[in-house]
Amino acid sequence: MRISCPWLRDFVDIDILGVETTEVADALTMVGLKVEEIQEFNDSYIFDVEVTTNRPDCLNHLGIAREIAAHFRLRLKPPDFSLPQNEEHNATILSSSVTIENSDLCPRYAARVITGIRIEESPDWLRARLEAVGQRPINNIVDITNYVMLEVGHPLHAFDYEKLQENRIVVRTAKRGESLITLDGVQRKLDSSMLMICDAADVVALAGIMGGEESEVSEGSRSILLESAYFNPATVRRTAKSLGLRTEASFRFERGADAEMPVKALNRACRLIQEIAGGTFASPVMDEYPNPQPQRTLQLRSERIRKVVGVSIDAEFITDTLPRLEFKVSHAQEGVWQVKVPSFRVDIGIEDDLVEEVARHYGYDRIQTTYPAPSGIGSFLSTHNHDRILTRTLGRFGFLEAFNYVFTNPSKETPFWNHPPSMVAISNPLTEEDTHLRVSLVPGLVEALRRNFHRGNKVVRLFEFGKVFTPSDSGDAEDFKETPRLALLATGEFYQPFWNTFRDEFHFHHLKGIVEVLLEELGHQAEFEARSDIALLHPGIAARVLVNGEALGVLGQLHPRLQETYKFLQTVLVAELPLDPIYGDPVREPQYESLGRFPSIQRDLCFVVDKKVEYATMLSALRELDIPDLQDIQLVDLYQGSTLPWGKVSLAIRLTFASPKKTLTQEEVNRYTDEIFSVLKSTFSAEARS
Amino acid sequence: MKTAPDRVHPLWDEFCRHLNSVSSLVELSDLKDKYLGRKRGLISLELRKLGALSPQERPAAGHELNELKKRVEKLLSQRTGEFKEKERLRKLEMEGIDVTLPGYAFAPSAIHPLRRVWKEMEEIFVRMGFAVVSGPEVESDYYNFEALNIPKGHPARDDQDTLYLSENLVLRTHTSPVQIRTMENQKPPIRIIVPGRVYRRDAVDATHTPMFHQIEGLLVDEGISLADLKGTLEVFFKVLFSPDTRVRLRPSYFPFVEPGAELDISCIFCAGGGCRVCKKSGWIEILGAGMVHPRILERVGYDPEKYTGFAWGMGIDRIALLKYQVNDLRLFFENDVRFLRQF
Repeated sequence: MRISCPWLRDFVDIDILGVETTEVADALTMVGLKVEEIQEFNDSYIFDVEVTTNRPDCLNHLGIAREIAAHFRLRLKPPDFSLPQNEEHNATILSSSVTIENSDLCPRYAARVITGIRIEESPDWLRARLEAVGQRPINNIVDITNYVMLEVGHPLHAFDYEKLQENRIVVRTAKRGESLITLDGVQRKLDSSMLMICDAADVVALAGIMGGEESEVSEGSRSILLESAYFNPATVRRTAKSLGLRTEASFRFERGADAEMPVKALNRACRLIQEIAGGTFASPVMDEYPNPQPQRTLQLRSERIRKVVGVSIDAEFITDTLPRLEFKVSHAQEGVWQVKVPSFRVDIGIEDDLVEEVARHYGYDRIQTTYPAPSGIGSFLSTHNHDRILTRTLGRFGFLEAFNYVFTNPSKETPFWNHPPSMVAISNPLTEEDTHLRVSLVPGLVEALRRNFHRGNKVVRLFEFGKVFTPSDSGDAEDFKETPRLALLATGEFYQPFWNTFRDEFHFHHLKGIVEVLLEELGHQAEFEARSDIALLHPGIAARVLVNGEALGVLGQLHPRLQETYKFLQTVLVAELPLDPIYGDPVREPQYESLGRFPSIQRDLCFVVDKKVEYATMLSALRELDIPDLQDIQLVDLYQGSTLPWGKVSLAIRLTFASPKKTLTQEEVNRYTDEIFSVLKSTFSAEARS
Repeated sequence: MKTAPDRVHPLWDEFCRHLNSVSSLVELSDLKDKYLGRKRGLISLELRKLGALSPQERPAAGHELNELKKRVEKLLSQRTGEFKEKERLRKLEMEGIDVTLPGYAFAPSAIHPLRRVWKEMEEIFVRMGFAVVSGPEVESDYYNFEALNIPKGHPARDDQDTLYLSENLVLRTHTSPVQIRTMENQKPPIRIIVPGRVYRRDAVDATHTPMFHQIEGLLVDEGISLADLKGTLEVFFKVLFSPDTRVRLRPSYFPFVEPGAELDISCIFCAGGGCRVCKKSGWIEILGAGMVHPRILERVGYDPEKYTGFAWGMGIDRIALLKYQVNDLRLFFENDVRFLRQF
């Protein structure tokens, strides 16, 4: 809201203070009307005031002046609201009437007919004031209605009297099939929920929003009917919203205009019209107000102020301040008052609203800080430790956390799935890109990778914690799950560039190792099972992660098809895990295990097997031997090359033996090793290789 | 009897001459063999000749030879030590490396700036006795709006352009719904913070993203006032920014608090002197807050005459912008590794 300082001076004598404009602005800010900016305009100042939605009474100069006057303890000088009369008493009385059919939606409608006016450009002073606050001057009548709105906050509308059929006004809801071409030249289709201003036959204006083109005041207009009404905020808001039409008038009505203002504003406008555009009042003030709104009275206790604000404020301050804001205060008992709320303060409904009135003029900055008494012990979320462990571990491996939007769209998702996934849709998306909620974190990370490649970042390791939104099979739009997941993406050199190391690309088994460590850190033993049916992964380089036999996500190389779609020149590894199952238990404290007093003995076994034999199968066969002194089996070498028969692979495993009870003898270890090799030989046709 | 204790054996001079021309450990070993070798060593041969001397001559000659032997041995071992030391130094010198070559570039770990400031803020509040709680990102219209005094048709709905999933479901526009959820399930005292993701129907630009993060706070107990809100958040910001940070409350409006306030902190860049960031005001607007609206307390079954409380909501993203002097919100969501590594 643009507020002009010279205009404010009409109502409050700020110059008497001898303070800088900035101090006035600061005072406004500190009573809750934040001055965002002070602009210089034609040798004076304009305040850009942020008026919160609860204060429609401050969407005008008088309202702002009232706050300034109250703050600086100055007298407020409101404009002349008295009824202006014709100078001569022989004016023609034109016939006119106002009928309100729906007084719920239009509690009050006042109007007056003025004839013999001259439509012309407004005088300079009026144009200057409007321009200063960003209002484009149109003609004297329209400008005066705008002026009064900006001055006292009440929107007015002028109709060309001669264009009104039977010269009368009917306030009713629209009938089926009615439409109106509004002042902006747009044909508006109306429905029966919308409140209209009509003449005897047709709609002539959208109540509280905008007038119609047909009855617009134009150069040829001689007589006008000036409307000053009070409309129900909800109806104006609903209609404005459904028509997608927001105006200065609707903005004020939907926040709540002053039901006691219509006649005053009408009088004010009539006085200005008489001064500026001439003319004769051709009707009395017609004021339809079937059910005058009762004035609200609230109780205010000084004890409540002390309790809510935390300071004791003098009774004198309270009884001085509230009347300056036009509340009527009467003493009820010691420290208790009955307070009558002015009609323009639509925001005041309970005692605490009055508490705020007192506190904001007392000054929030004068409140001495205190501290609440301790209550309870601070605590983190139950998942805090899990998150911390995973984040720390991933950081160790050079992974960086990504934050992606949860938005996606079907065409972005389709390449990642065999069948288009069912997704939760946003019913009012802002862009065509962001129409749905993600069902996986992987596409977002792949998109982030694309951006990184574009910027020349070739070594990228990202992880993301985030929620995915999966619809249920029921098809019910409101039935879906919001589940947290962790996803990983890695590509490029495994080692940092260094002058003394061999090079290696980040590959499947690197990622697998990281997934294993992550799960181990949370106390889970992961198993992996080859899968060729995961749409977004390479069918030969993909696995499902299992913990205690339960499937917990996937990992693998991004499918070459996707790599091609994204024009990636290097292979990309991804993993995605649901967090709820792996976060199930609290993080366990480590438990010490005895280190063993007797030395361990290691033996290496080298053998050739068929490539098709899975390492995990061999491993579990060896574990099944149940050799208690076999402590560990490590794969230390894997070779497949031209010196081996086709389809064969050479493996070297290192066996570690140790007993908690004694030092093992060479004979015992040899016996174990022979036993192990014979199993490999008989079950997997392994051949020894030296 | 004739003794000659001062006489130097003729072999001594000869040995000394030889020793001076020795230039390696190998030559030194040869020299040792030549004089001290068991069979052919020159001194060994001389010692063997002692038997041919008369008993009178024998002691003096024997003494002389033994003295010679001792002196030769001593000199040889001394010289061996010298050669070995020389050898060791040469070896160490050869082992030397260029210590100015780059060290292995272990990837430094980094934390996303939003996560970093999020965790830091959480920790401060936990130390102040707050419990961290969470809530769903998809909310019902009731919890996101109605229960917070924002019925359908309320102008405050304009302040938060909302993404709807259906008539009754929204992507939460603030973390405030968790206030209601918590109070519905718990009796006072309540002392919680709610960090989390929120959504608005905003186009992306340098200062807006359709998804961002907030930390909601709620403290309800007997005797809680606006002054306590001020004190609590003042302590928080002094820890988060610096002990010099000052806070200021300004009246403002949020439908779910009364009285309502906005909290400004003294500008962390100019310490309140006035700069570009604070638009010369010396203050930076940082959060919305207020006393929990009595109707909300009633709605969750608390007696507003007995209990009062304060609540606030602050943007994590905005604080990260300020704290790390990032000039564009979009950077937080682009995931450029060069950006992420800086934190």
